Amino acid sequence: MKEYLELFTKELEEYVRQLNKHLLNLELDRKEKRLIIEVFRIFHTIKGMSQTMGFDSLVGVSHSIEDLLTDVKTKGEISSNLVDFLFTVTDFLALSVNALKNRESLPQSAEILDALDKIKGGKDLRSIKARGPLVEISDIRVKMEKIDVLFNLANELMIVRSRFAKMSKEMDDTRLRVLSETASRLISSLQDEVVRLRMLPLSTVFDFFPRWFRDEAKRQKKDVGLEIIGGEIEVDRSIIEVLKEPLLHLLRNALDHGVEVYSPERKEKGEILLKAVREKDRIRISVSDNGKGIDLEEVRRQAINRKIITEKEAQCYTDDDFFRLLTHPDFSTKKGVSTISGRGIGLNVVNSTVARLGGRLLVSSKKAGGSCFTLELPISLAVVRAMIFNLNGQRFALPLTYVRETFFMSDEFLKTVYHRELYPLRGEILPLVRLSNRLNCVEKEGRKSVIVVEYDGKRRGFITDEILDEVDIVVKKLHPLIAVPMYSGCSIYADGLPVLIIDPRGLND
Amino acid sequence: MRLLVVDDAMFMRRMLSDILEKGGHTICGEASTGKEAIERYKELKPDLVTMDIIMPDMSGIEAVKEIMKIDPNAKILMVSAMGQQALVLEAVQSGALDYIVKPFQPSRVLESIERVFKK
Repeated sequence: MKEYLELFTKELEEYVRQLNKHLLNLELDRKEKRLIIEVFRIFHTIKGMSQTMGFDSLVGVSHSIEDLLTDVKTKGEISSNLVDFLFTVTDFLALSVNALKNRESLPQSAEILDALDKIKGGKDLRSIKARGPLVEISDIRVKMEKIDVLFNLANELMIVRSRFAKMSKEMDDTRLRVLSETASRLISSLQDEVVRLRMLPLSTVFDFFPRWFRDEAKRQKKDVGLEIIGGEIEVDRSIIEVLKEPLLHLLRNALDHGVEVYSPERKEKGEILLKAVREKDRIRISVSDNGKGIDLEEVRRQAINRKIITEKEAQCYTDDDFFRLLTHPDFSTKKGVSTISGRGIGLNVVNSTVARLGGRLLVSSKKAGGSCFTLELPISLAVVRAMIFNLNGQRFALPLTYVRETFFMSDEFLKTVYHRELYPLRGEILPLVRLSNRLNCVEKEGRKSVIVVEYDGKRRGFITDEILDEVDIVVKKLHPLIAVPMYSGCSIYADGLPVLIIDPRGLND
Repeated sequence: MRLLVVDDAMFMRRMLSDILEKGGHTICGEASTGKEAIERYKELKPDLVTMDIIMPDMSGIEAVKEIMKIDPNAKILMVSAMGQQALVLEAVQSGALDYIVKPFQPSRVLESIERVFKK
């Protein structure tokens, strides 16, 4: 029976998701017959399943809804009150799912059944837009662990591939080279396909927002529309898993800060747009609003008040610098703290989450054109483009997302101020980081290469012996016992030796 | 006996398949929509089909009609939830041989199957 219960719960959960989606669309077009029938079918199916499990409260509720919808089906139109009520019923189903998962008793259905009698009359409800192709759940269910095993094997093959390529180059044999090239191509395709297996459409997270947004906007009595675009774009599961919180922060901010500035004389309705776009191996997910934008003067004042920057520093700040200040841990322009946002931790958290995924947060705003927060993220975390460098014969990798430029260092320009090495670069001062000190190794004598690295809004020059290569590396996690903040993982280089991947944020400044 | 189980809920298919397998039958396939049921019927030629009524795409009744067109000797057992008498009747008129009602009792399910095979 336990196995049935699991299956039942999983399926009920999926129906809750579908119901929310269909109801939101029904709210837009209450005459959409196909959706009415679909909602009817779902309740019918839930009834059948619940009868089999003997869950009487669920049978009772779904049976009554089925009755109610039979009339609606013939009428061809559903009232907004009924849609509203069906949302409540869907919440009840969601509560039931949670109860089943936690092995608790099912929630009481008496209230719902009572309310069923009272659905008559009432005022209209606000509508929320949710657009974008609907992505259906795939046909087969495969345990994630199985895919992970496959994924690891493909990664091992990728390592073999680069070793093979290197070896065939060294041996300089035409037959071997042809074979190696074929194998390379096949292994790359295999790796790509396996990476795609782990991908899920963004709608997996996006689908949650319209419903949440509807409730939140209603609670705040704000007439704001939410439009969603790009839910069909696929992204690695590990990214999907952590995306919900940052996006919730941004949507909350947009609803709370962006929308509050609508003045009554502005007839335009508040609109928030959540949009995903794919650009090669990266995605950009933006949350924008049509409010009055970010008040840079206010940002400047707050930053000085809170002693984040001095007045003098502020004079040299560009607009982008001010925008970047918004992600500072001590920052918030909202004076009062509302129940949902404005605690001043939001953007900072968003920023660090995104950075952890190898992406970045971009802020832009136009006067009277609204503000726009964009998350730029890799599609997959498995393969990363990295710069390989050498330090006393040992190799390290640095993800290219951090790298801005590289140059050869001339010792004569090097200055030391309070034990800090500085280097003038095109009129600006670049603080240097002696990686050899941090990584406990000895530098070789001779010409040094510097990698200019940007992270957390800072620019640093990492001093290395030599830059070797720029390659795609397969990222492996370090064992927890040897994991330290300065390494984000490790990989195997083409010659079969391991390289550690440096995480600049983990190097103490 | 080789059986094709048609229901839109995976949970119901699993439940029913388990009952049928314990009763000594073989499940040769499953389908979750009416259209899929027809495809699978053509492909598998099962000895018997258990058919849910309300499904996406095409209802179980339409699927019964289509299958009867393909194979007038097809043996179909309707599976319905309570409160669908009218639909069950229509299905039987369309060629289904019998019906069972959710929730299932394993003995009732197996009995109905026996009955259908004797018809």
